[in-house]
Amino acid sequence: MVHLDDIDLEIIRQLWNGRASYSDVSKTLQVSTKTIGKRVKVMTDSSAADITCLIDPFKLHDHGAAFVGFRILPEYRKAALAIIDDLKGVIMAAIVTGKFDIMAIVSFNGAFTYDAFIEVEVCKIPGIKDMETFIAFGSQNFQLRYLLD
Amino acid sequence: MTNRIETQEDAKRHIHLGAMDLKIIKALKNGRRPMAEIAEEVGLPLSTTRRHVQRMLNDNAIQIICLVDPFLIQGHSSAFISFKFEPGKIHQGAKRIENLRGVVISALVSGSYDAMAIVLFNDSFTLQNFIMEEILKLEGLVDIEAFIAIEGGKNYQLRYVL
Repeated sequence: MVHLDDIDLEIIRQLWNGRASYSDVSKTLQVSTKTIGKRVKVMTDSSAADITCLIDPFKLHDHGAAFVGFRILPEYRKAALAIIDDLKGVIMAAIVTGKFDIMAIVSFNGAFTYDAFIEVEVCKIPGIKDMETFIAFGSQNFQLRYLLD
Repeated sequence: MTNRIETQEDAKRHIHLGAMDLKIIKALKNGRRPMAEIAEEVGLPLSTTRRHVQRMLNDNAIQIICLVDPFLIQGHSSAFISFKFEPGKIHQGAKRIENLRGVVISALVSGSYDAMAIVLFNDSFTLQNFIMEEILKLEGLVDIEAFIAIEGGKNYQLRYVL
């Protein structure tokens, strides 16, 4: 597992604009352009970081998103997380403390509705006891990866 | 006056992206892909492709950014946090959450909570700091609940906002 150091973190900060030139980042951080490129490659190859385009789903016709909390039998939590990660529409998921065991953000559209998520995807989750959905209405910072076809 | 500002903001939020915009967004899954390659893939001239991207960036419809897995940075953690407001304060409260320190993403939601967010912490900005310093800025807050992330899935990567 890759652990990120202070220089990696500074690079990530500088890449708030993901298309910033490595030579500009290099000048700001006083680190060679080659080092920036090498470190970014290690981080992205290991999935520690990802330079990508996020989208506000509410600016697309027929799209929506929700926070979803899952209650899972204790012995299935890890297996359930791995499955949830691969379910259609799931943007991100994590095992959490509190009244839910796993929380996720899920996106939908006209061809892949919330109903389809429940009927086709949720039934694949091992050890699921219960779930609760909080349909999102968006905000200025509500931008997600686009994972639907 | 307030109403007029809100109406303009609402109008801005409702700018809809077209099929070509979505094609460009999909092609930008790797956010550093050369624009010439994107243009070729979507079948548009380079200048038009650039214009589409710039317009979407200006409208806050997209952001091209480096996301990070907080579990891989020493001293960092994150949590899903739910908020419940007094009935008349929900919209205003949800709007303020966006600007609280540590908030990566937030939204007004339906269901037993009024808003939800993912918040990032580190050694100098802890969950305790978030509760003691940031939450106090939310007028009409009735309750919050924190779900601390203890293991992220493979796509659990967040904007670095600290």
